[in-house]
Amino acid sequence: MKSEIDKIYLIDRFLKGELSGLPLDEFKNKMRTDKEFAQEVESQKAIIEGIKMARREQLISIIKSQRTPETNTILSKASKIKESENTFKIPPPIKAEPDTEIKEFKLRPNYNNWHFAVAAVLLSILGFYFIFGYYIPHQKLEVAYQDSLEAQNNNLVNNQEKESETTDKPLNNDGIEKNDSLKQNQQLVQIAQVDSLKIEKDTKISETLYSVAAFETITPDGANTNTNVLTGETNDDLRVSNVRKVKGTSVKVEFWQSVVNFKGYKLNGNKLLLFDIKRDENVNLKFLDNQLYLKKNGYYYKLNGSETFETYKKETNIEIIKTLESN
Amino acid sequence: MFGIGFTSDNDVVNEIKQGNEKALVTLYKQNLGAIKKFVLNNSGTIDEAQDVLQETLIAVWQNIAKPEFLLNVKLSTYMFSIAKNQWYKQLKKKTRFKVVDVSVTENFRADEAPMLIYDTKIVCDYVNKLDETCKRLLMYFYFEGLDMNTIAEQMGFANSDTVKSKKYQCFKKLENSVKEHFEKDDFI
Repeated sequence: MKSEIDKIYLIDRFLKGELSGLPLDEFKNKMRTDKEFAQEVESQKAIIEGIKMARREQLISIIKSQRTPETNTILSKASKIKESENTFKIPPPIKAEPDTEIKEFKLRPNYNNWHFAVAAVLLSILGFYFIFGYYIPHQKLEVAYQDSLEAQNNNLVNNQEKESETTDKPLNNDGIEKNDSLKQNQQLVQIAQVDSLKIEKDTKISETLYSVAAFETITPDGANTNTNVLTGETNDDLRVSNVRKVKGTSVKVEFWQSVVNFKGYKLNGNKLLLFDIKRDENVNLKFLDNQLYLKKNGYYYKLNGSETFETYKKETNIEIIKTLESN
Repeated sequence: MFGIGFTSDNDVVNEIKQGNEKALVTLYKQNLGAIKKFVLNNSGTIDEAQDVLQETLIAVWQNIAKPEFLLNVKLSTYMFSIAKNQWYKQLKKKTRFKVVDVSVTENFRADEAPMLIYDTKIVCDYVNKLDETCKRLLMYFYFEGLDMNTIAEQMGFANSDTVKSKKYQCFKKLENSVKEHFEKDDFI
């Protein structure tokens, strides 16, 4: 066996070209004289070629796995092979054998990623809903709102101009000025119509400048205090107060109709906004000790200055009501 | 080292010397662009460029695997010079085929190339049927040209004598199966 291993090793060295000098001459001589030996060399050579080819194919398959298939190149290769077959009878190279199979690539839907498709569809639906169901209508609403605000501003400017004209006009017995712009203002309906979209807002019915009478109570020192002689206690209920008229103040009163039927007022400085007061309803304003009171349907309401809207609160103090009634 | 990529030419060379095929992929990726461009600029097709790159890689692989190989230039430069030679050889072949008559070529080949006793393709099939150790050992020895010591180190054999003995066994196994195949054919 040892000699067999050495023989194969020697043939390997010869085939690799590693023999030289005398060993090479001896080897060649043996090949010439010993036909069996020559046969063995040839068969070993063929087997080595087969081993090399197998390794080569292995490496080529690794390289080919890196190639990206391009349809045009496959086609060009196919046409090249066909052409060469027609023109020359060249024996096909060994390496080309696995290559000559033209791979066919078909585009098929990848059903493994169906969840991505579902997600895409749902996102598209959401997108459409946002654009057509929310964004565009919202834009239209905003435009309508801007238009209505503009209209309101224009009306206010007009009213202010007319107000300045009417301040010099005489007042009637109730102290209520007959405003010429009332009819115009009654038609001030803040409804904006944009593409059949209506926005209804609070309506200003009229506005008037009132000259409000003012009173104040005078309490002379000790004059109106009843003191019990026995106990020495004072009784405020029995106090007697005098009222005197002081200089009145002008109050600009605006009558409004609320969309949501709000019943109340807002007093800011000398400007008073009254909601839910009918046009033919008799109202009266009076100042008592710098407090404004509104008389409506026989009742007195105390009006407090505020930045916000307040509801009507009836005055329950009989003394005050009596004082207001008697003046 | 693998997975992220080789950091230097020496890494690639060392991995090729150890028979690691991942180095081949790295070489392919690193040199595809340059070689493709060169072949296309020199009247070649994309497919021919791929073939040149393939042949270059095999040649480089075999050269580097040799124990005496020393890399004196950049690996990409070395690759490119081999690719250039490969392409010029192919171009020469193309022009020669155009002028040489088919019959002349056939005669020439018959005279020059001695017929092998066994069909290489059939031997190749039997190599692939061998067990993994035998296949790898024979390939390392005959294709890469690794010496016995390196093979012992790579494949975990005790020493070079063990490799020599194992290699003999594997070779005989292959030879017998091939012989058997052709003897059967002779009877038919």
